[in-house]
Amino acid sequence: MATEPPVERPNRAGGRDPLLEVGGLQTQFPVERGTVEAVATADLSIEPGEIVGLVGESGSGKSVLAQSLMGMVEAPGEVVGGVVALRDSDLVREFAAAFPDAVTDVSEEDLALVRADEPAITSDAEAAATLAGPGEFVFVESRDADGDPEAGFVDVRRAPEAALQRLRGGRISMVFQDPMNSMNPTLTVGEQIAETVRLHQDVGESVSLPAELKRKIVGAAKNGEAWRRAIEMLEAVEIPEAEARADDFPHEFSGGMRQRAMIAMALSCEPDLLIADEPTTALDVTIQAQILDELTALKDAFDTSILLITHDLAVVAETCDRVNVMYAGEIVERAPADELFANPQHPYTQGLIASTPRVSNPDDEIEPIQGNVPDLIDVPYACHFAPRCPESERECFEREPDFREVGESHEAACLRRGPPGDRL
Amino acid sequence: MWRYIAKRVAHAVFVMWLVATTVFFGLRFVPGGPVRAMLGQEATPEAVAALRAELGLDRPLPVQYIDWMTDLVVLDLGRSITSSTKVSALIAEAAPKTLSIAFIGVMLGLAIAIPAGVLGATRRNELADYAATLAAFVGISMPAFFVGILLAIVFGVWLGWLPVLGYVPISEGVVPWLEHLLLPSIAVGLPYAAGVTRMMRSSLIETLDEGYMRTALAKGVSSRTQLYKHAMQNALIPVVTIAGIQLALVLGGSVTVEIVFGIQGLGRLLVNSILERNYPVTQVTILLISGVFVFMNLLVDIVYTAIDPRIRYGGEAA
Repeated sequence: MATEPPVERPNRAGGRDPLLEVGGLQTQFPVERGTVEAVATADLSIEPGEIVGLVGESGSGKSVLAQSLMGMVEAPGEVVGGVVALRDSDLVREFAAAFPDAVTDVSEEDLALVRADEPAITSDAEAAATLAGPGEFVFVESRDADGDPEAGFVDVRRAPEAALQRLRGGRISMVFQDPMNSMNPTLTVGEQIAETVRLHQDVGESVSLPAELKRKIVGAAKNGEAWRRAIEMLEAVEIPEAEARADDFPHEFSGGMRQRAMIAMALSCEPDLLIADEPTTALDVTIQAQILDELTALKDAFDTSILLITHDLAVVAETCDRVNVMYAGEIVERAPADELFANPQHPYTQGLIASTPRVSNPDDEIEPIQGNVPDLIDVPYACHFAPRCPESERECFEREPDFREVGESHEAACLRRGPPGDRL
Repeated sequence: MWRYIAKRVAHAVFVMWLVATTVFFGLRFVPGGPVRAMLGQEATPEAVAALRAELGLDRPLPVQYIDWMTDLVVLDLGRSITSSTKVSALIAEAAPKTLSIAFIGVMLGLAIAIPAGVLGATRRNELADYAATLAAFVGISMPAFFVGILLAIVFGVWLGWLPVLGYVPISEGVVPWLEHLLLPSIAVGLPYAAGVTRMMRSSLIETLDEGYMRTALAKGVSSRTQLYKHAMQNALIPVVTIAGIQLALVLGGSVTVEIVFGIQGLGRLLVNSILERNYPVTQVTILLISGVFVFMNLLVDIVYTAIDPRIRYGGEAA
């Protein structure tokens, strides 16, 4: 297939392809009473340079979704289906060289055939993934005149551990909720950042275990490229006296500083995507605002997209370009942030916004959503929100809700929304 | 850090004084005395009084106490009541044997316990873990002298691989020295290893669950580097504590085990001196054993500063 002429793909020309395309992602945890569907078929896309929000209550599966994107779901959990396509031509070239057996070429014709067979599949990545042979996870969509990959994606979901280690921290990195607990108390802040640099960038410092242990005992080389880069990163996140503070241990940093250092660590290799899992939840409100501002500024400086996971609608409204609302393992609504808050459509989103107190109108009645998030063991009804939904009808429990257009780039997975003819 | 160490040293000195005082008065409250033990029940009151005066036991207790304390400070350990040998000579004869057993026991114990604990934690609920856990459970349930008897029967009597009696000084060759000490050392080392293994396993399991281990994974650190660079140092902190406290088990074990193996060490010296109410010998022997324990735990406290930066920089409250 490598000999085929490059297919003209008009939708790719302007680089408008999503950076990350998640299709049909399914993550399950086997438990004694059955199977917890922590993520039941999630679709998500992030374009280059975007901040995309993922909002939901605790237990809605947003953190598990984030872990699934990095192939780090904790055992016994397992990603059982779907595709996590990371589109980056440098990465495709790098992986095509490093994992030659894992490369598969997919042409526009192949994809058309798949789409004709399975009309449910809408995204290119999902269609391509159905063509993957065992062990194949590097998808080449077009090649240049020399036969080198030009466009394509890497399916993180299918990537083996060796490939995941390169992706994690290098191409996709993560900032966690609790800055107090996310840094190793026995390593200096500088070393923890320098380590990431050493792992993913060619700075000529070995990352073999003996080299790391030697570094642990005698300390990291302060004149090395990795250490210099760590200091630069601390400066970038506005840690004062970065050079001196790099030698500090995490317990000498305040909570806000630790979260800044975590962000420095996550951005140190200029990843394509930064996943921020409740990055400000554990911080004071004033620090929250600073960190969010910094994230937004750094996103542009480091040319990174951000997936911001939060339960805090205010954070979303403040920061995000687009928002996905997640409920009980499923994404139920997605829209540009302004549109979502001006015109929430899914009954769950409406309930979520109505139950959030507003500083501007403190006397407003807060209306909580009735009931609780179901435990996700073998959920028996089609729409997971149906039992709590004020508008639900019998059919909501029986028929899977599909996504319907409810506004400008605005979709909601609810049978009672969408064009009048389709509405329940 | 130096303030922390100074504090630990002061603490150790205080503990030693407390032990010395307790031993001194404790011994004198035990019924009977050296004079009765030496002269027997039939002795005339005159003979008893004469000997008491000779040994200085007729003086008031506080005077004897202050005497002993001042002697201790200048490292004059006194003479045995029964044989008038210098106590320091008796100790010099006995201590190397017991301390060798304890030392080799600890080394063997740690050499078994650390890898076994790591194996148990990293292969949780696999065969190796069950085997290590079971072995640790059996080990922790058996006193050292009992392990010693079993070892002597199996390796000494049945298999005939190693001697079961006596001691050869290291000056007569390392190999015979080690041959005589191996079984008693294993006997004290196994119960010690059992406790340390359990701590190593549970501490490492807890560490592997920490947020910073998830961070290491998210950074793309390989699983081996995660274990040895990111987890081990943190996991060892509580293990070092237990390894220090459990030394009491080793020292206590050595004292009984050497009797099983017919080695004339501190254990034999202690038992005999207590039966004879040989105050100076008993006092010094107990003081030496607790001194070793206190000193080892002082070392543990200092090792802490190397492995836990929160102590190194912040004082122990951090």
